[in-house]
Amino acid sequence: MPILEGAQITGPLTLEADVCVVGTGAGGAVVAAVLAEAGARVVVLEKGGFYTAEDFSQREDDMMTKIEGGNGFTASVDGTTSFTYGECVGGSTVHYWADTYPIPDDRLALWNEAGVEHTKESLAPSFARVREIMHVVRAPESLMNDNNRLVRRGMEALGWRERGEVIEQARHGCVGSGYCQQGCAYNAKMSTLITYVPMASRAGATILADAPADQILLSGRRVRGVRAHVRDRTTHRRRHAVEVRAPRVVVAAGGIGTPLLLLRSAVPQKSGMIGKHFVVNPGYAVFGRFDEVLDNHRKPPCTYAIKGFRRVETRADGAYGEGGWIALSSHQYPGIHAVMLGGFGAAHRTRMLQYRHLASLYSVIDDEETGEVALGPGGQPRLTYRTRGRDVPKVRDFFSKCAKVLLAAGAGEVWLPDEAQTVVRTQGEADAVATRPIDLGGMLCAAPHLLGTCRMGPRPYHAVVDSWGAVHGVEGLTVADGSIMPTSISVDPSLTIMAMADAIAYRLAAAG
Amino acid sequence: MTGPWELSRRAFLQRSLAATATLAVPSVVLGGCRGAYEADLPRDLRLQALSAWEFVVLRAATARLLAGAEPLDPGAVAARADAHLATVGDPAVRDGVRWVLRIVEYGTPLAGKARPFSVLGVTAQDGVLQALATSRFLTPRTAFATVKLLSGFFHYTQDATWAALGYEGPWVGRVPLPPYRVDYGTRNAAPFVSGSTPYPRI
Repeated sequence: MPILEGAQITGPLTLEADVCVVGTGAGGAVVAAVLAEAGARVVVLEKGGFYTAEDFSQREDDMMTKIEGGNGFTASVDGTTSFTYGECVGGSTVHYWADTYPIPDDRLALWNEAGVEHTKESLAPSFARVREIMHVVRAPESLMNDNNRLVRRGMEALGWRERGEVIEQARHGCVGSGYCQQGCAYNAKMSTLITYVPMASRAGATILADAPADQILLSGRRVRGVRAHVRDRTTHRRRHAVEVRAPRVVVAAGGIGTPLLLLRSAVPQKSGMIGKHFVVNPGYAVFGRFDEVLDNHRKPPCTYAIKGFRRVETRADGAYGEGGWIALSSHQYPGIHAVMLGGFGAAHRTRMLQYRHLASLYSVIDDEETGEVALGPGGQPRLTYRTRGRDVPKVRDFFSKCAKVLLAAGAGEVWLPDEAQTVVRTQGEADAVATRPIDLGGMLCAAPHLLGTCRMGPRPYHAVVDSWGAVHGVEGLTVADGSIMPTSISVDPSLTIMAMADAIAYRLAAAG
Repeated sequence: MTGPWELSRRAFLQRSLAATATLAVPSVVLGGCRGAYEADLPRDLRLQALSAWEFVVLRAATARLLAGAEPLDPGAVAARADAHLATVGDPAVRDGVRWVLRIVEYGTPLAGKARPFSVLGVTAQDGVLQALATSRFLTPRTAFATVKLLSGFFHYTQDATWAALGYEGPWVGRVPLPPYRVDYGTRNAAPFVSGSTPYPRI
């Protein structure tokens, strides 16, 4: 069946299906493809537009409008945290970097202690299927840019070789343009847009783009469909009503969209946990200035990462010692780069002119402090999050150790992204960063992994869904995206979301 | 640095901005009233999301935040931000932008100034921006960061700014590389007519 775009819909629409899937990202597209291939009649609703490689202009402003949720302007109520998520067919997999990680064993074990049923062994077939379809391979040396090479050099110079790692990539035939975050114009970066979405489409699923879901339709505690609408892609004005009648609804609208839809639908819940436990893996950048001209804006952003400080190490007295983060080699194009650098006026301009001399590392903080996704006045989203408490020392440790790595790699100086424009020139100064106060509120915090807001667990009083995504207390309603993860997984969650969605979909297909 | 003295957005508005706005009222009346803002707009400008005063404040802030950048047209940057904001469906985003621009315009007492930001001299404006950026309160700092985001992003996404940075620009249009083909099944190019007829069963 074709992928239908909003402009093609000329009147109210009523569809009947076995399953309605909300969302086409890492969770929804996998579920749609598996169920459609199993013979189910599947209708998929996607809030964002349908763009393909030919639409990807490699321009930050244009692509932000096309593929980013909230046009790139979704932030916490206090303005400290910018949430990045996809809003297009393919969801966040269209803008993710395609550096790929399975869930760490220790994190799955932690979930098992809380009653989550999935194990490394039970998920293995799902990971294997997803890895094959997404063409996950070890990054070849030819795809490693200067930034990644310098970070590796710094790690080796510090004697931290075992703490760094070449990262697997979901790519096939990469041409090295470097515009992964703006949608791959060559269809070389694997995303659900070019894998699971076409699979679902070819298997007969009907996919509606520009069709935000408004409400899950319930009869008592039983699902009977989804009410949605088709909107104008540019103005977002409502155009036509859409109703999908289906006895099974799978919601995969992401860590923000899924809880909002459940809350708007007044889904009956004993836990009161919808929207709670919001974790985001706060991302901060640190820059090293090198004398040589670097090619960091080309090739994949992250083929090498610092993973050896992922787990928190405590001191003998139980206090925080180090770790609780991973660091990704990263790069930015000029627009976002300008936002991430500290200072303004002439000082900022001086730093901008060093664009081709900067290497950078970007944090994935394994956050323990949580925020909330809620409905505010008038039904508007109210997103509460701030890096605070136990997570602040992790950020300082990230800055400190990454400064050491960049200096060891040959950087003349290292810049923190604070408005005080902190400059680090020696290993001793880098060590001191770990314990000095730093203003996190004034620097850009980009939060890319939106998780935890419909967390899974066996007990209806403590969790929104069970281990298979089934919403406690509601028949026919399933969640299959990152929102079901009970904690951060401390690495990019895309592959794990896909594997869990695959496991959930196979279980649904088997149930008939 | 964060600390226990920080206030929520609502509390900050109630306690802090109420005071600063009170200080700013005479200046608003004398030099920054709505008519004055509109008179300060380019004649051919048609704002889509920002109001006249918001545009003027953003343009003034951009001129200082990006001082020294070549080429720099603060009005063009503010106009690009306005056009982008017009495409944002979530009204909370525009409300947020309006809120931070209000802090910039009327938060001048943080730097010891009693007139709105947009009518201050450049040295005083720099002082206000510095005070916002380094305020002990979280709210002015995040307001500064948001305005800097609008200015920096919509300036440095213009082609004319790239050469000085050594950035060559997109490959698309320069490097002839067609995408690998993806089969989405039958793509329906014709309008999909539904009317009152239910879509046929799948």
